[in-house]
Amino acid sequence: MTGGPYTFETDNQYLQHPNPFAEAQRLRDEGGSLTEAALALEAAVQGTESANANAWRQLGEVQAENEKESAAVRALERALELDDNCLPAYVPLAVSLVNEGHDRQAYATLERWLRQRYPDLLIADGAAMAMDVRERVIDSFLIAARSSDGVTRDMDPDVQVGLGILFYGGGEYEKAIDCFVSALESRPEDYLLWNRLGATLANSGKSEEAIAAYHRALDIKPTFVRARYNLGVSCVNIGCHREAVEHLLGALAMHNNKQSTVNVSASLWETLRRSFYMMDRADLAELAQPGADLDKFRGEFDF
Amino acid sequence: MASNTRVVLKSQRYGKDRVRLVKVIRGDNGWQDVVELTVRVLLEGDFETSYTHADNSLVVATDSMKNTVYVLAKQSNHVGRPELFAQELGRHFLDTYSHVSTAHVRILQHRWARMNVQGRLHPHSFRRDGDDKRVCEAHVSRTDHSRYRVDISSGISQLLVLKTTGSSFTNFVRDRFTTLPETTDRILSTVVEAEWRFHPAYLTAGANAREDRLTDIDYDEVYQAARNITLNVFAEDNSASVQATLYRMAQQIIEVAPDVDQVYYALPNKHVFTVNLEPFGLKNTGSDATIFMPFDDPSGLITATVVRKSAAKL
Repeated sequence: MTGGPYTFETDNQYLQHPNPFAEAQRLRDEGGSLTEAALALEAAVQGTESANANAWRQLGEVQAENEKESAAVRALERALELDDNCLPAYVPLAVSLVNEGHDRQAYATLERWLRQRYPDLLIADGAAMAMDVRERVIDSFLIAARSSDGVTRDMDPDVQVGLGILFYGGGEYEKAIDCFVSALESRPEDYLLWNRLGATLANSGKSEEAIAAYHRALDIKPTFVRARYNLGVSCVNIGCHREAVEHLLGALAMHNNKQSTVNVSASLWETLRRSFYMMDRADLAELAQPGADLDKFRGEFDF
Repeated sequence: MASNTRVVLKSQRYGKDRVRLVKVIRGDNGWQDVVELTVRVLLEGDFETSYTHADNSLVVATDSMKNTVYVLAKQSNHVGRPELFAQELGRHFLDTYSHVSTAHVRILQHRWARMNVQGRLHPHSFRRDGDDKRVCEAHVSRTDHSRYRVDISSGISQLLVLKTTGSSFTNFVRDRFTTLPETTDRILSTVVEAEWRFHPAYLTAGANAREDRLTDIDYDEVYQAARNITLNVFAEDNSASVQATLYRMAQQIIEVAPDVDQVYYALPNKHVFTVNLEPFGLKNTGSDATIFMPFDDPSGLITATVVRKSAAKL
């Protein structure tokens, strides 16, 4: 719906690896480089795992964590094409779609997830009621939230996250924050949730609190490029351009440009350029193009 | 006389100002368009000796600059899009004179609206439909021996507007210097000066440079959108202050124009106060106020720059 087929890196040493899928698991479990994990997963789905929805789902997750949203969307869509019962693919896809501004598609994705997850749930037929899609899906999620024995006791944290995304999409940041905070109570080590909380805080104007949430995410997972990107964005927004540049360059350094030239992170480069412009350094902005040698910036910035 | 160790020439630029130009663009079947511009060209470069040693050997006469404006206007297809004409002029001076380091071109476009005669747009008659000007600036400078940096901005100048209600001003600091009463209903009038900036572009020197990054931007559309937003927000916003209204205008321009990252407004508050008619036994305050007196001086002056913010990702 948004992209078409996934584009693979052309230069990938994992294509020669005997078991790239197992190697990808190892890299992920050990908190290794996301770019390496993505390459291993790309090799896996180009080989024996081409019809494995779970492998595609993992590739999508890794690319989103690595701040490569359009690659993430394509991989996650492929996972659901292969198997619409691949439940863990739905929420990450909805998140990526919201980030890309495809809100209605994100809500539809969450609705599909809810139907798969709670097949017995009586979901309102919103089309007949001519309701706003987002409101309709929120209603369904609230029904799901109460469905456990009819009372709102231990809420399914996935339902909380889904609701968080729905509130976030409608600009209801306070409610979204509540959802992510309560989901974190049952999953305090979930770095994705810390980042989602941070992004919601940031977009509701609470940059300082957001920065603290991003740091929690990075403490748990230091290679989490997206949290580093978000940290850069918050620094830009509070006017700390030098710090922003250092976070963004740090994130780009993790990409290891020599091994990743097809799926570049447009958002990282764009925000880096914008930071340079704000520092009145158009000379550096001109250099900040995908594929640039990051060593050119080392003299002036620590990363 | 020539050498004086106590002073140094800190900066200099010179050129021709107020070059007036009308271009007629002839279309099919007698259909014609007209563009009226006022152009200023200022050059920076190795002209120090003309100031310090009365040496004119490197000086390009400002009269020649004026001639250049007309020659390029004759040859250019960009005159109807002043942003592109401005950068074309700027690049020409850098291409032609190797000792020019930066060219600053500022163009005012005057309004000529096609006349509507008996319900039909007239093919060659126009009327002035407003004193406000479209302004644009292009600054072209050398980054090294083969590349230019081009900074373009556009704006609105001298757009005079007034609304008779829908404006209040309350809750401001009250101290021993305060005499202004709070008001929930006042006349609001301003002369809009606005400027929006595009990202710099980098081009190779010479006439065959690829201009895609510049020509891909629809400057006319951004200008129309910005002018409409300015007018709509001014009219529709229930103004709590000039500051709050200004911010809404700038915010909306950045939202609709992806190529724009920065918007500046300067809005003088042209005060129009009620006249005291009490000595004549006439009510002229609050909802009875109908007679006012505009004050040219002093005026408030509210300025702000609003920039695009990056969004965090879930």
